[in-house]
Amino acid sequence: MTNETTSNALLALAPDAPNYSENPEILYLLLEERIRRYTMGDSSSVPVDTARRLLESILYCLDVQKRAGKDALPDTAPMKTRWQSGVDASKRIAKRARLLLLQAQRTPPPLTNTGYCDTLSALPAFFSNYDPDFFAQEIPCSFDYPLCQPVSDALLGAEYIQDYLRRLLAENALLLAFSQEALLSLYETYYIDYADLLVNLYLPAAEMAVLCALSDAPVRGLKLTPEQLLALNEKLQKATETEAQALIDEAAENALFELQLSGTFLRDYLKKTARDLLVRLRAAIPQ
Amino acid sequence: MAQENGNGLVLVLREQFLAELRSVNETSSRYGLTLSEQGMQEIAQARTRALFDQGRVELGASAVKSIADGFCDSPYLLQDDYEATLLELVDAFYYFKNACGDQLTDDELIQAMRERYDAYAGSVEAVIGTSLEAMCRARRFGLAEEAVVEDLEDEDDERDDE
Repeated sequence: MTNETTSNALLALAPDAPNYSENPEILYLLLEERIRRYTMGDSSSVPVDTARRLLESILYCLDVQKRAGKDALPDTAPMKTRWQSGVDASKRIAKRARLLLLQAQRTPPPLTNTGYCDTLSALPAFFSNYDPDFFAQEIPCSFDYPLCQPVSDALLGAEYIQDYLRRLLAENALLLAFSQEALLSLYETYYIDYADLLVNLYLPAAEMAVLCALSDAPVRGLKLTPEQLLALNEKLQKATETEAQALIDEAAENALFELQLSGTFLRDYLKKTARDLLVRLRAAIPQ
Repeated sequence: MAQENGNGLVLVLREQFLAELRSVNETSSRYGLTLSEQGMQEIAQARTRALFDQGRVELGASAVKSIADGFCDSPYLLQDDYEATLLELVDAFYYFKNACGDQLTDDELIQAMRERYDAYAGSVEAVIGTSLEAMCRARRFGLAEEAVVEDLEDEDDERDDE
């Protein structure tokens, strides 16, 4: 039985937890204290699953504070201080995420679908149920509206929700630049039943906006004639991989300029979407 | 020395648990009940096994001391059966803790078990063999379990008559 054994015993509780270099004995004592707080002294034992969730929360908070940049405490600071700092950071992130949700509720896109509305109705539950003191890594609500560029699975707790909402707001910002009619016409071609299917509303608009910019067509129209599509096809066929990438990046920039939208996050988000489109387009072009 | 340091936490925890059990003797000896060192080792093993079997984790102070303290003044608990009874009560405690979904506190559960134990003149089988619902119902209504069962049967009969 060594330190490693204690560490292994803790890892058995939380096998999916990220690797940690914490002192297992101090970690054990902190977990013991958290269990005591969680049961408010009413129970000396908890189910393994509860202990695992509490341990994952401790490890997550230590990780959050480690990633806090200039605010991060040194590794030499007491573990409990670092953990508490992680809890506080999670609370701050949750507060910022709540503001993002309010913004999302205030600025819906011109057209929404069932998945989008259900998700916006479900997200407030996160803020009423989120418990960073004990389960900071959890996302206590269920929502399924798919984003065009999904949130990384590595993010947990309030960080996940914050990133989800940042992405959703970026998508909404682009969609708000178009008229309802232009979007409706596009969705009907792209999805057939956009209102009831669990589909992303940003993707068709973003792709078409970039293609319009690439064809020098009006971006707000979200429409290309068959001739314009053919010309685009030829343009991309002639371009090398690097040239095509430069073309699509420039088209994304031009689209945002025409739509009078700015912001690094929005630009990067659209460029990423445009590059994904390019991969599909080039795969479809006969070599 | 390195080995000693490596064993640190495990040894400390084991020693803490045995110290807890020794402190139990301070109280229970007033009622003529004491745990031997061998008995303490057996209880330590039983606790570990019960926690594992029931899928529970207990860090820090153990419920075993509370169980012993809660039962030591029972007129039905005698030195001859003390260790064996405690072993079975420890098993039953963690089983019921899971069965109630942690809705009962340790003290509430121990009290309910104790009432059942005394009501059946010190029968551990009566504690182990009962359902949590029956134990809690009897406790909630402040009745012996038979009385509750009779009441429920009466209610059933009345419904059948209607």
